[in-house]
Amino acid sequence: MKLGRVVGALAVTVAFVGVGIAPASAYTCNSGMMCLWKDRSYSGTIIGRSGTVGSLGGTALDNAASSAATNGKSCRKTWWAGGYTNPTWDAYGFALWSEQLTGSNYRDPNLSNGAGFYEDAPRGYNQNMEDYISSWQFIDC
Amino acid sequence: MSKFVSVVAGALVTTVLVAGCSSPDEGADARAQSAIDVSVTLDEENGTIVLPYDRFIPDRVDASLLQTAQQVVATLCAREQGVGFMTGRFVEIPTYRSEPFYGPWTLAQAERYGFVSPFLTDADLRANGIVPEDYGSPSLLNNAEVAAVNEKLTDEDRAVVEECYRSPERAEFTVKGGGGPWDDELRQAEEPILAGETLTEPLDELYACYRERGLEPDTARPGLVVGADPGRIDEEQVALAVQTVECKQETDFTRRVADALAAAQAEVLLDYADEVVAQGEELQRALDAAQRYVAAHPEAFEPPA
Repeated sequence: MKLGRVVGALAVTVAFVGVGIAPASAYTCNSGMMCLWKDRSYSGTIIGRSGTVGSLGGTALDNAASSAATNGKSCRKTWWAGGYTNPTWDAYGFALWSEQLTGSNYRDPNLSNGAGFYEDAPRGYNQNMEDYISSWQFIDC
Repeated sequence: MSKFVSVVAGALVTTVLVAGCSSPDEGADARAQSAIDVSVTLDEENGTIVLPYDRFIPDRVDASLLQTAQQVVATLCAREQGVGFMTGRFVEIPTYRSEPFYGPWTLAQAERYGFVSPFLTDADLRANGIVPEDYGSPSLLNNAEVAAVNEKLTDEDRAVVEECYRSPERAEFTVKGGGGPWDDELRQAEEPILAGETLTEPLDELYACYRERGLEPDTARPGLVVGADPGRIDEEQVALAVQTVECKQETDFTRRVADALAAAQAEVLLDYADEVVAQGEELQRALDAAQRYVAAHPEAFEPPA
């Protein structure tokens, strides 16, 4: 379980729809967005997306994300997976919950030691999800 | 995979029971093993496939129920401290039990979703931009109302809510899992099948069927064809998806691969029968408790007074 704001950290609010660079330790994921960072602890190249389910193919974060967060306004969860590496598709991935709708489990600073809660992904729990994500979906909308 | 079991007309069920004992210890082992149902259930009506291990792990609906109970704990805790947090109500949504299996495996999935995930509700499809805003049925969830309440919270309020998730009461609605040796062994047993390294016949026959129809198998995405797009639903995608499902039906692909996965799982599950049965019992206890708790606290799903 990955919880807790970084108390006292400098908060930089960045409105984005594409790709940018986030300074180390700054964390924000705007309302309605899912966010991925290339490096752990929400740093490095950042990508934020709302709406369209998608593939990260062609972006700097395809199979290259190390931290994640989500803040859906109309959807309680975001599900991330490694594209089509498993034909049953939904078996290996993880979910985080919307920050504003649930107040918990909305971010993970280090995907290498598992992500999300067991109930959301029992077959993929505690698996290394770093540099693995290539697609996502908003669910529970 | 969902542990939801719904045997409907047309679904095939094969059950193998393991029994027999000759001493008290062996009797206990045999009892645990006999509680492991190693059959496969294919529920075409709901798009659900139940493999043996699915009966001992939460599916999406289970997860939603457990997590709603956890969120109610945090909500009530926060309100006791003067923080007006609200949480979303639990709704049992059957669509969340539908699942792909090498792409769509029922005609209903193909006709409605093409190659898009068949567990998405109309609201999910809209939110993800796959369909227009006026498509389908309204959401059954009260997320908009929750967002309107919770957006008024300050950072300090949110910290209180987050701390409330650490309440000991929450533990009753969580299940521990994913750490047993059987989890790794199950993955190792399934991987050669899923990677197409073993059990090549069903895929070969499926691909032959695709080629007979002028479709090119997408070997990078087992079960799919070149041109399949999991991000859009249109006539072209639906027509393509329907053809793949027809081929799966002609070659009995889904049943054959599911049976192979079930057999691979069964070997592992029977070795750890005691632990796996205990895991399933823990899950059921948590689900029962969550159901009672959620029903007992409707106030958590309403704006605070």
